Amino acid sequence: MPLSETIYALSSGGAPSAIGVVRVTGKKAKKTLILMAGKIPEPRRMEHLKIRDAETKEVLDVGLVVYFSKSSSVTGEEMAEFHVHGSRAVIEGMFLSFSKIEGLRPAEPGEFTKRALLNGKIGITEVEALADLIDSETEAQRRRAIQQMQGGLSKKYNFLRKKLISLRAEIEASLDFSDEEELSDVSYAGQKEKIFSLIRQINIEIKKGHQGKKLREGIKIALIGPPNVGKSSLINVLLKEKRAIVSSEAGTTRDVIEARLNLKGIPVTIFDTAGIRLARSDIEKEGIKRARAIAKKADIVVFISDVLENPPCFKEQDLLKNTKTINVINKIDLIKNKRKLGGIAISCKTKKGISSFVKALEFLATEITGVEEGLVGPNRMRHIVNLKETEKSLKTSLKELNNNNIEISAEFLRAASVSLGRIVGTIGVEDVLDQLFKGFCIGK
Amino acid sequence: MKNNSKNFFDIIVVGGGHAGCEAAAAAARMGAITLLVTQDVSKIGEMSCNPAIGGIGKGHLVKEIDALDGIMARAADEAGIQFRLLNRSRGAAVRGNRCQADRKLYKKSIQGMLSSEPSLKIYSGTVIEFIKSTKGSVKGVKLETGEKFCSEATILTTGTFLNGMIHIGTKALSAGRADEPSSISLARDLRSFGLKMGRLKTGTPPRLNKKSIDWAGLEGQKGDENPEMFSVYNEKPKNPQIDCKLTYTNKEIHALIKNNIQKSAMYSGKISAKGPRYCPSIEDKIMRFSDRDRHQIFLEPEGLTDDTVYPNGVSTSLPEQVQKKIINLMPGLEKAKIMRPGYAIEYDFVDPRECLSSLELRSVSNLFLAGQINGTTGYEEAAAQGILAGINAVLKISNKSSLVLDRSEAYLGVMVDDLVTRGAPEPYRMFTSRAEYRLWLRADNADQRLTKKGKDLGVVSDKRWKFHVQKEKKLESTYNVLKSLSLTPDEAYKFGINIRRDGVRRSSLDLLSFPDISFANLFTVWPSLKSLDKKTLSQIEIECQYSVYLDRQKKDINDYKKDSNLKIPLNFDYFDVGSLSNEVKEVLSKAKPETIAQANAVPGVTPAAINAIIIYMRRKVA
Repeated sequence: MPLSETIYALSSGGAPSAIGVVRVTGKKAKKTLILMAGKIPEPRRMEHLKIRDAETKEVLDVGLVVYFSKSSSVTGEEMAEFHVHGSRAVIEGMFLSFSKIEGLRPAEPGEFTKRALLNGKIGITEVEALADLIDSETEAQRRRAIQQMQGGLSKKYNFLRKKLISLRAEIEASLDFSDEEELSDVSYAGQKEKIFSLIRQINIEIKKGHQGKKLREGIKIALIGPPNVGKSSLINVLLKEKRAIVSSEAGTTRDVIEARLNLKGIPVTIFDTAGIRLARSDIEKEGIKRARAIAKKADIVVFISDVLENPPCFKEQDLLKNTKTINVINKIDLIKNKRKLGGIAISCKTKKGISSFVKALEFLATEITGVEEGLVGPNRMRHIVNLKETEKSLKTSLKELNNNNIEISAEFLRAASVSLGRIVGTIGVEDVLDQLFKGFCIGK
Repeated sequence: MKNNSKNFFDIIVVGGGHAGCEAAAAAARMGAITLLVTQDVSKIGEMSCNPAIGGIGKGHLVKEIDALDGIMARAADEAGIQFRLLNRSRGAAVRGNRCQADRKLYKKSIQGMLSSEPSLKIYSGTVIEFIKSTKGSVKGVKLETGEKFCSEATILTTGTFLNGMIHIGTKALSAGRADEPSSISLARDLRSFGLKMGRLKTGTPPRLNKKSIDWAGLEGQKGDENPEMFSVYNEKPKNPQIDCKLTYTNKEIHALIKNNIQKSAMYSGKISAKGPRYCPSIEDKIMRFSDRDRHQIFLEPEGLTDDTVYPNGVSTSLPEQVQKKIINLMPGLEKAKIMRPGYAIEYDFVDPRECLSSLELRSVSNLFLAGQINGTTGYEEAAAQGILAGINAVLKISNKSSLVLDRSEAYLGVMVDDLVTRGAPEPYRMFTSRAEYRLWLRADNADQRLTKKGKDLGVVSDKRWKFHVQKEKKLESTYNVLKSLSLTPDEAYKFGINIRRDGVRRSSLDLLSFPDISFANLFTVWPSLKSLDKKTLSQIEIECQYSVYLDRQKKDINDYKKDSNLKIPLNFDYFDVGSLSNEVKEVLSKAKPETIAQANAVPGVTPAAINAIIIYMRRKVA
């Protein structure tokens, strides 16, 4: 954890939330303020300022900006605080902008505390309280690590890791064992090729990370089905508060009602559509028309039906095409025998089956947004920023290799290992040596 | 330090190999009354394996030894019969000095330097056990003859002798080196301390008779035309320079080895100890890299007046008969006679995590370990540890704090840090890739990194110090000259130096930091520079060319220093730190890091855990 670098983090917990407090601490805090807020506010005074991207100067948000000098900051280093709207889009925009400023990088867990400690900003009296905090930090870190180790993400990053290790092994072998016959006359053509392809692969990952349009705008879920099957009740269960008007009389919801919620950090808008059936009045007709339009635009359609109405009388089968559809059968509290049902059986009344339903929604939502398990919001940004850093080091390494500065090229590969190591697990010299001795017949 | 009665010494060094010699010499230079005790004084300074000193990484260590006024560099210069600077075509940071050494001359030089140390006594004898105080610290050694020598600190450098076991084919015999007995009682006594110990393995090739080799027609390898010496004491080689010759294995040999593989001690299961991957036996090379149809074998003469030839590349533990067949199947070696068969040797080592960074054992006060006993291989690795152990043993008995070199100061620091934090899962050898701060830890600046420290501790003699002061002066004055010379891009262009035409006037030093500008270009502008000292100019050129990267690396070094300066008390109880997870408590209690930097490097230790430890330490101090 180099202390000479300026670090940043979302200090206010996970996005989305009402307010997001983003902190930047270190030598470049002032520069960051100038680049993004246009000025350095008077120390410890909040100022309402436009916050812009450091490079494009596009306005990211309007928020409160504070500057703390070394003597008054919690870390004992210069610090900038941005109080912005806690939406994912804004926070990611902020992080992206930080990543464009030379010398800034995302903080490692516990790093703000460490700086405070090393700079003597934490006294003995605060120690006990801090111990608890660190406890929770450790726990969160552990959980995050486990999360990231599971699933496809680790496989993909492991692949990058292996490639970088084998590349370093080849370059280091040519430096440490140039007196070996096998390594005495290396042209480095293959290595250049490898760096190039690694850069390309990392680039793809970075681009994927930026594809978060869906993530920023949120995904749309339409609840459709015949009247009075419990669409609004389901929303209410999901929201855990009465927001939609719910009535037991068929056809109560005549318009499209929106509800927003957060599924694993992904913003979701649920549209409760009017029950689709033959319209009796014009208002209903209009409502039904809108519902159909919404259903057609939705990313996920939840088709809900009544367990007693089986098979459901539903003629608008076209709405279920071209989107991801989840079949939900409500009111299972009304039946006793457990027959096999063609969908997720739930009861809004007893909450039975709701958690499976939410899981199914989450699964589809992560699939649609391309967000991987545990990798949303700032955490995802951390990955992207580190990937970018890796990419930058690899590019310099390639340049130096082209100039035949092998040991300098190797230095940048080492730097690339450090940044990639932050997300794939430390890459140590032993990993490189293991690969080296596997690949080359070294030694006399 | 006042021990000068017959059987009382300040420091006792057990063992006369490269570690022991360097340790004894360092202690004596610091003025300690020192005893070097070894089985056979005529073997002091023996090169048991290949007749060469240095290499890439290893050469760096030798330069550091010289920076601390050690003896290996000087002996190598005295004995060198072929000098080569490896990686010459690559950057200065990874260049390594290497020489073929005349085995007899090397030994003579080492023994000569040791005997000229007034406070060093050399004694022939076999140490069988330690004299222990009631508190468990070591107070001296007891010899096979019953003689006892007392000391305030003892340095153990047993090499491959602890329970040494030589294997040739199916034969196994107890020995520390060919025809020398192994140390069995001492090994037993060492185990009684309850140290974590293990077995390692290494090997050596058969030796050939020079006269039985058909040299004509063999490819040759010459030394450098302008040889570079290891030590600042020397300008040029003292001996006639020779060529090495090359031969190769072939498919026939490979088939022969495969057919006899079960007879190899390594493959028959007789040896279970781990050998170095970078120093494989010929059996290993054939079995692991079966796609290669030949392997290079260097024929290195062991000396100018010696008939022995060291065939570098055929280390083996196959039976003698098979060894003979292998040798005779190689071009030029058809009639070669084996003077001594190759063998594999297994020996005891102490898990170096039992040592502190000063190389003193954590659990046995006043006992220091250096060399192969700590799981390393190589003369240079051993000697470098020896010098450090020698210095620290003297500091310990003078009640001074020990010399700990960190990873940003020296290859020696990298090696010791690796050893005491990671242990030695295989015999440890120095590579430049192990050094994170490689661009900074160069052979050319070893003295700038270490000599002042050594001088302050008293291990660097006045003579060596003078060389250093001279060098620093030359550097300073040359830097001043170069600073005063400057050019605009337009002026530079007239001399054929093409840089961006931004109108900025640049000093000659700035110009040198451009990748394609060297002194050769500057000479055309300022011909008077040619008269300046070549070595000085070459070092300045190196520093300028790395300057951009060194600035980056300096930042990393500063951060690392902050962590490595935060010392963790030796008796630190991790189980007392409430907020650490049990896993972390366990790994740290086992690893016993001495600094926060070391703790940081322990796998599984989180940043939050590091914070918790710092907090806890602060509270204890307050």
